[in-house]
Amino acid sequence: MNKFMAKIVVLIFALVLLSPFVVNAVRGVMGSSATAIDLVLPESGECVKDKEYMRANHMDILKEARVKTVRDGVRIKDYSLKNCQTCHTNRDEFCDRCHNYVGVKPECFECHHFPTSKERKERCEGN
Amino acid sequence: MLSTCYTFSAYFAIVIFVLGILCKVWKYAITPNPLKISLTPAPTNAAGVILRVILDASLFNSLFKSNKFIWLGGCALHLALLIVVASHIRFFVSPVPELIMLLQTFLQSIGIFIGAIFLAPIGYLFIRRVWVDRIRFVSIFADYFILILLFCIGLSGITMKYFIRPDLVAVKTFIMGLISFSPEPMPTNPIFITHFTLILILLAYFPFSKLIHSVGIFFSPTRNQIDNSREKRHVNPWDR
Repeated sequence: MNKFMAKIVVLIFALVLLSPFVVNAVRGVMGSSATAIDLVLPESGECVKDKEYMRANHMDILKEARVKTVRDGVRIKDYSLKNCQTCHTNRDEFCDRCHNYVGVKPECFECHHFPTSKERKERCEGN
Repeated sequence: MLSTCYTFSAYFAIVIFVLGILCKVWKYAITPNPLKISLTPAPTNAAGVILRVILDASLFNSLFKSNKFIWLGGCALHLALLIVVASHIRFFVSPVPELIMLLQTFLQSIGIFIGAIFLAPIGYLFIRRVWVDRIRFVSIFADYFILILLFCIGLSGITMKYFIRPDLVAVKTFIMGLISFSPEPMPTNPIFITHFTLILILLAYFPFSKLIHSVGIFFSPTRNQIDNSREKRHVNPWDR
């Protein structure tokens, strides 16, 4: 391979290797902390467990509650999805912000209804 | 302190990784081919060669011809690695592309199996290296080291996904901070720190390890030469 071709090959490899940086530069988020998400948190500030635990492990609690309810017929009110809704009223302002950000799709809403702020507003206006 | 330390080491590792691979690519690309040594039966035109290299790099044809068991292990390992790496893309772009979300929906249900498919062939390759006399005889430290390193990375990843979970938002914020050059604090979950440290070691070691085969396969003359020595005279580059 001659030097000119070799340079092109190196350039192609450089583009592939640096793709995370290139993509972000193209999207225009370089040097800015465009990554912070602003959550709408309830005023009480107290959940069923502490904040750190909930952030990392809320899915375990929900899954356990699901298994207990569906298989054993035991309803734990504290850990039900409905109990979440008493404080975290809108899905799009709470669940979806983090879930969309990290690319995790919760299975909850395939069956359960957890209204978004828009739906809630429409319902209020309907009444 | 932890964040500063890791931010610097991350950039250090990335620079070694990228520059190291580019140096290797340059070296491979300018190395002259004095002879036609395409491994026959070889394609007789350029399109055939491109197809051959793509097939060899994706399906490991030549390995299939030599050893079916290792081929199966290799396929499982590389396929699992591809899926795992693809699902890590979600930590490097914001917002996450539709396609990655789709893959993610699929992965969430079978993720632990993919993890197992990644770890099992590594275990197999390790046992084979220890067990088979002639392979143990030709093995050096680097051969064991890379298997152990990859195994630990896979294991810490699975642990992080299913058992000791970090705060994912903090993890993504940290990663996005790194790649947009606006450093964010490092998550303190011990498993995440382990996983991240091992990845940095892998990145810095990659260009000097046997893993460079992923780059080298595209430059091996027995694969990428056209078998047209009768139609077109091949002149030794330094005899021209």
